[in-house]
Amino acid sequence: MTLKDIITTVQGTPIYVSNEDIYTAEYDGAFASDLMSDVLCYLRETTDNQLLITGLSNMQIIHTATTLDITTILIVRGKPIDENLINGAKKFGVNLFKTDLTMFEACGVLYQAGFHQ
Amino acid sequence: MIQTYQVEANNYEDAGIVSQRVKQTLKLMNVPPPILKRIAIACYEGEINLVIHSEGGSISLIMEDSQSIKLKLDDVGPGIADIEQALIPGYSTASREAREFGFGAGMGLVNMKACASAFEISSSPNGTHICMEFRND
Repeated sequence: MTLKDIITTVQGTPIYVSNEDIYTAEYDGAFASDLMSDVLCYLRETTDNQLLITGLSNMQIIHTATTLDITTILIVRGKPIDENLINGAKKFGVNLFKTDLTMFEACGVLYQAGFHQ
Repeated sequence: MIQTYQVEANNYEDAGIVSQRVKQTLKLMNVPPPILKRIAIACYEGEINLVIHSEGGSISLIMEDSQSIKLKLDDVGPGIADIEQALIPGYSTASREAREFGFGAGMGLVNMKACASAFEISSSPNGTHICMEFRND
């Protein structure tokens, strides 16, 4: 699924986009968690283009994404995003989006739209 | 080549910075992506452990030759009471603050061990010492 379709499906809004071409990028799957160790463990072997869905909004989500070469993070539950996180996203070139949906709802609508991995 | 970085206890804001530097250094040295990812994950988990559990320590990146890369983590305590237990997936003694930052799932050491080709750990109340070797295998 393209990032454009993902963001439309979850009614997301951009917080930081490294370049507009990212919207046409294909994502193979997503992993949703607030536990970064689980993310690091589960996506250890994957070479797929994965989206990180999380309710966290601190710098550790940027470091986790960078460690795993994840290019885009979707923050759920409409959490306020501070300047520090936006600066981190810019520094490490990680695309950030947010949605007011809960993690359960975001995963649900994406699954329903055919994003199954 | 040996590069050593200091890691401050309880500094959650900067946790991850050392790992990013290590990854960047290895990327510039053209370390292949699969091994680079394993090293980056192990280094990041180790750095988080130093921040959460230790009273401060260091991470050393050691490259003896292109076939073998090592990460050495040394801290000054308080040590791990039961290493065997700490290596059980899900076992954690992390604080609430650590969990709020997304860590403390009890997967850190487990993940480090899984990423490394060789993993050695020793611990006493004076500190914990971990040596991980990464080979192209």
